[in-house]
Amino acid sequence: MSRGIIGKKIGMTSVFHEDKFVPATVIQAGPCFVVDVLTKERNGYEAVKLGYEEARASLVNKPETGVCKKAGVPTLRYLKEFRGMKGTVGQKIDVGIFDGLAALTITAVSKGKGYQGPVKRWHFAGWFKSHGSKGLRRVGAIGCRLTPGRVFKNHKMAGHMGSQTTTVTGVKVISLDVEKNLLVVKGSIPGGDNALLTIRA
Amino acid sequence: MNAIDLVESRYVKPDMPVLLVGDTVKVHINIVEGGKKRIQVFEGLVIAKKGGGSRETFTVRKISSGIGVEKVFPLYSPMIAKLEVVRHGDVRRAKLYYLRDRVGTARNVKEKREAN
Repeated sequence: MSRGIIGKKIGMTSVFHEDKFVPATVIQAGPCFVVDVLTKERNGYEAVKLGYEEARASLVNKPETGVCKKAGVPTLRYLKEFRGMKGTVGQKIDVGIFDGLAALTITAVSKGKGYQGPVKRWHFAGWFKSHGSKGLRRVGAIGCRLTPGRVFKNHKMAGHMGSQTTTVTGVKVISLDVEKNLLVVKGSIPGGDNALLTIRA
Repeated sequence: MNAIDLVESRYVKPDMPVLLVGDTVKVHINIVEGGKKRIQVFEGLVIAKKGGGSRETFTVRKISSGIGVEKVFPLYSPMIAKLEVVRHGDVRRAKLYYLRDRVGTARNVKEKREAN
């Protein structure tokens, strides 16, 4: 059974795990409410729609306020669908659903880096600094001459980097605290502090 | 208390001895070799403390067969079986890195005497 929860990245620290001092990320995971159950007959696929973080009704748009009202749960700021997950409308989902699991999948929007050159963006090696070189961090050649007479699609060049939806898999769980809705995972995850996370297993 | 402090506070052991820079300590380290566990004692002078809370570390320096050896231990590491303070040193600095350049008796630290 697939299961998921919505959360927020709080920040990073280091903890002792399996006799080692390891980097860790602390996540505020849920609590979430099931606001809708999607079925094969009605929607063409099975899923549940989860909502996270209570907010004043004035901060949430009217259709979503209506969805929460119909489900009989507080007005929630973020709504997301989780395919293949089971639940009943109004059910509270907490971080306990991941109890006993070793690895998770976490999706978030990565930190924006702005317009970056090819060396940072694609790990190009750059060019030499001496002998009159003008191309220290340039792209270099991007193709041939008459044949093919064009630059191939998806050629790696400078451009906007980051702010992309990024998924990391196999994120190891160090500890989870159902009472405080805290999840501690090993290593880093995409996004800055307070980034919205989709956590699945 | 914010969430990160809460997570870190779980790793802080309350029954640790007071450790100060300049102290001579015996660190009993758990060592796992080929599935076997044994304890090794590393005795030396605490020349620095860094960080705070559960992430605090201390550096121990000793002279081993004429060669200076330094080890950095996380204070609350589960690999430290026991921490013994042998004596308190009388020092004026938070970091005793100058001892690295000292030779012979010049590297000795005076013992701290309690003021009456």
